[in-house]
Amino acid sequence: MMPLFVEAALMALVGFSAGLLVAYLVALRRRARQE
Amino acid sequence: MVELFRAYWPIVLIALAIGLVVGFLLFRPRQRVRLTDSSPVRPHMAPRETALSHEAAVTTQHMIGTESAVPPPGPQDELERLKGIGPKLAAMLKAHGLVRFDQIAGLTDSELERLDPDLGPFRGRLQRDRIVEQAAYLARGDVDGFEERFGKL
Repeated sequence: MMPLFVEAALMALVGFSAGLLVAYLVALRRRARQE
Repeated sequence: MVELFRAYWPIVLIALAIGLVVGFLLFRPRQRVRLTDSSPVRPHMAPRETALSHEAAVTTQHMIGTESAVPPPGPQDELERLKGIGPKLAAMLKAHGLVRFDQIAGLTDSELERLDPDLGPFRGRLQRDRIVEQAAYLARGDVDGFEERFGKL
């Protein structure tokens, strides 16, 4: 089994990546609308 | 995975918020400048006038019969003394090479008509204020005659 802090770090990373992805998609959509 | 998420959802939520903030900062629209051929040329971007191009301009003007933009040598008169000519109009006339009263007095009607469109907001002013007539008096040095007709200098 994985240590607890690795699990937590992994979940934090997943959350962070998801946030980044959402922000990127929003920026992409905004840019496409402007053009 | 679902179990993990269930166990760590507060951490995931916080990380998601941080990721969103970082992402918005990272991907926010920045001012982008695109220079194309159709970009307007600003004064500081305009090609410098060389001596040769100046000569060419003078020659062209001479060829097409407009007034020379080069003021003739000799002293220049204070054109603002003419009634109806302020500093701006005087500067415009000087730009057309008209710097002395005798030059203005010698302008023919056709020359005036040619000059008029270049005077912008002062269009028609030369005729309306009888500038040629005024200049003729001052060119002769007939201040009394000038003052009699156009008022005190």
